[in-house]
Amino acid sequence: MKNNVRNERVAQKLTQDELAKKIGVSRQTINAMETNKYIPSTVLALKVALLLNKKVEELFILEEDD
Amino acid sequence: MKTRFLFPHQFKKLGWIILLPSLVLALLLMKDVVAFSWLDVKVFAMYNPPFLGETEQSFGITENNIADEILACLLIVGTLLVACSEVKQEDEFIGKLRFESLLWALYVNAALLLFAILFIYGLGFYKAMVYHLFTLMLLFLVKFHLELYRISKVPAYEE
Repeated sequence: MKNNVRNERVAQKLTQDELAKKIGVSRQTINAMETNKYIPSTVLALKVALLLNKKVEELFILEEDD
Repeated sequence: MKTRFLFPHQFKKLGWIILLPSLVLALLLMKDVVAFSWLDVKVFAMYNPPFLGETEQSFGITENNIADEILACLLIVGTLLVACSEVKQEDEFIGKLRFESLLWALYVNAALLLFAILFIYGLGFYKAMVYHLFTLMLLFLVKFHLELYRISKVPAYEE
């Protein structure tokens, strides 16, 4: 699964730390998510989508091997 | 994040305070560098089978140096408090690292046990098993904290 979290976060002029604090996770979690090292739970994905004002499927995209 | 089976974050510091001195003292005691003869006391033994001509002492009072018992208990409590207390920002990603570190420790611990079974004999095996009592928890602690250190070093990309 790939994601557009980093692009959308930067577009909204948020740092990883700011996004993390607003959602209540560590900055490392946002970093791991953006670099595709961690696939978030549905709850976390929904929180990120809500905060970035996007639909979940606009942020997280399935790939062929998923 | 709500967690089950984890201690609050404040317990981590207490864990380190208990763990570090007890680990050092336990290793020194195992190597006979220190001895605590003043801890020779009478204790209740639930199971103490006869050994080298001694009589059975189960369900009775026996004399024993309790330094190793005290240090072993402190080691277990200290290790658990350090390894199983929440980190400052406990979240699902940290939970994943915790689980993977525990799994890694379990496999390495099993490998150590297999190695000891196959290559260590006599009294050496007994000694190895004494160390092995603590290796699972200590391996988990070390691996988990290495992972935490590794992710703390990732670049921020905070443009």
